[in-house]
Amino acid sequence: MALIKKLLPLLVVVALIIAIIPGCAAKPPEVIKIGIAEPVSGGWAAWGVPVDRGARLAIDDVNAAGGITIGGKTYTLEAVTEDTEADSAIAMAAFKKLIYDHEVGYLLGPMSSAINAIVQPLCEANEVLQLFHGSFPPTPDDYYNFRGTLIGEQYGSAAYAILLQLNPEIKTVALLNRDEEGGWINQEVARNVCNALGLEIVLDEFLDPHEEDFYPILTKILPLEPDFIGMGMIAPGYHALLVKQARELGYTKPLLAPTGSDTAIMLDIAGAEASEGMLAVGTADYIGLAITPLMKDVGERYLARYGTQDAWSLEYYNNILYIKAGMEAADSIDPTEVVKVWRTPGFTMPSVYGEVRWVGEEFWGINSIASCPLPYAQIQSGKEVVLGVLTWEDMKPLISAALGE
Amino acid sequence: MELSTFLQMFVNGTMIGSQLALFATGLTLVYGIMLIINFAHGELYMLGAFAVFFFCEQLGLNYFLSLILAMIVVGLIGIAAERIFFKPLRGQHIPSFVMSCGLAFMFQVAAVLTFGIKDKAIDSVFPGVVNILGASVSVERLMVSLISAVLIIGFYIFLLRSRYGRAMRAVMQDPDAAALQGVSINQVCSLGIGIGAALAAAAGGLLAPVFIFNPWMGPVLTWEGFIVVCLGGKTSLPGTLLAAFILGYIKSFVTTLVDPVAALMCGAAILGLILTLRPQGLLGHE
Repeated sequence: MALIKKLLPLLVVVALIIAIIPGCAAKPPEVIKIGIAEPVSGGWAAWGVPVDRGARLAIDDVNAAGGITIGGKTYTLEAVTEDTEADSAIAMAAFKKLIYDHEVGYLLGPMSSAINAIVQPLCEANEVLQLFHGSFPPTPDDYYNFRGTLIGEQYGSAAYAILLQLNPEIKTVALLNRDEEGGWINQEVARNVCNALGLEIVLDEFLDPHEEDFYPILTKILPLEPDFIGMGMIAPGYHALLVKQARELGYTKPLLAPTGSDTAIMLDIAGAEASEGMLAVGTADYIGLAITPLMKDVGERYLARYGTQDAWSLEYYNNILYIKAGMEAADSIDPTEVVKVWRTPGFTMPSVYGEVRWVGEEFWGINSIASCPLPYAQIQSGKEVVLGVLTWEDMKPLISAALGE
Repeated sequence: MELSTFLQMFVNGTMIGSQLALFATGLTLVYGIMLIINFAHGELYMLGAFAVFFFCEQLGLNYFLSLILAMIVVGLIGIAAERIFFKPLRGQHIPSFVMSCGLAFMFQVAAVLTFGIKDKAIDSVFPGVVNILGASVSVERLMVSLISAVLIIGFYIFLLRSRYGRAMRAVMQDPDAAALQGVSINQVCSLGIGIGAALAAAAGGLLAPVFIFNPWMGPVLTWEGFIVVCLGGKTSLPGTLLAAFILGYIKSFVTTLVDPVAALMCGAAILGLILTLRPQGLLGHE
């Protein structure tokens, strides 16, 4: 007993050393959490899951290449996904969980402008750098909020301009959109674009977002004989279904969904015959379209991992590259420092498309939109054929016209 | 308005009504026999669509054989759900509703894990379009309406003529009296939910080549189904049919003549008005 008492201090010291030694060993890299708040269940999961996958592929690539080194310290990235179910209340809870529980400083999402209007103040108040993917344009007050992909004015004006270029006889349009806030915003953009392009709007209506039977609305549209039907915020499957049903009822003219095209889904649901001539703006075929070796490489690895190519997936891959470039240039993981660097004139970032920068000040008073190019394609004989790629410089006059400037 | 446009609206309404009728008939049956609010009924429709997709597109079986197999498989799933989950909750609205929400979630997750997240479609079984006095309709939709009518009529004959059908009607009218007459409530409940699930699967399988389907399509359909059931009279099968076609014609005519949002409002207003005047529904009993 006396011996144990004598040895007790020694045992305590040994125990402490054993406890401390692992901590003294080479420290594992620290982790930077990247929040992803998108609909990974529900009808919008067809878009939410692919973009989540795109971001995760980029995070895996960054980590596999040794992570991010800031001030001599190495960090790895970790994706934390919260499901928004494309619902405002659930999205708000998801954002709060990511910001307060997971303490993320960087957030990707949402893809809905309506939801962004609700969650953006939360990100701004908490100085969280947010890459939002909706169609609504930025405002000069959006300091921490950036557009991770092209916005409605870009997609809308470009898609309609391309359609008119291919079909100069077009004079009238029927506009349809989802009956929810994102759809209302998108419809306003479509109206502006059509007015700027001199198109007569013969029908301007909203549909239940879950509607699959378009026969009743098509019965209203067809006697008006529009030269094309423009569909706004519509998921790819619903877009294809509308094309299929319009063809069944004898409508042979173009149908265009500037933000909802996915050629694979179109061909699967509507079939090659009904899809012939359909325009796809912002194609999902990243491999066939590849304008850089990186785009082809990432597209092929995405295909190998997930067995499919998905629209928008590589746009989220790009977002991780922007964050990495921002951190390295700022030599800091602090989102505020990264925003400062991003807002420095002339700052460029890598992307699968090549170098991009933040643009848009001439139209919206702030450079918050990534200057990604916009590929466009057409379905010909059951295949997607790339017609061209619009750069930011190409888009500027179209946006200017769409904004009535 | 041209006659062809009117006919097109009428044909559209008939199609919508027949789809709703087939789906809601099973829901009425389950509610009528067990007095449970089965919120997973839309998921049974979804499982029917995926089952046909699996048998037809992935195994390469004939479409009609796939449809029959889907009805059997989903019917058995319904019976298993009744035996395991719903049996202790018969007649209890809130617990059965909560239980069915859990089941709906389970079915959704199972479909996601098995078939993925993307919208699916089945190749057209009856391609082509026919013109009826200037109204266009796909052969596919006509066949859906025809087969729906055959299934609903067949089910009615079963209810009216067969021993089990009479037992079901007895349980729907008065379960205690039926039990006293020697009717096995357990058997009737299992059979009822099995047939209800099979009818939901038939609707899903029949509409799979017409529309798209995904793991999350169920809840919206269930709501529509419950609106039809409540409007019709909760346990009244003729009432369900009447309500399905009324709502189908409202949706078609108001969408075309006014707009889709007005059609939703009009349907809700008609439901509110009828339930205010007749809380028991169109053909329901007090």
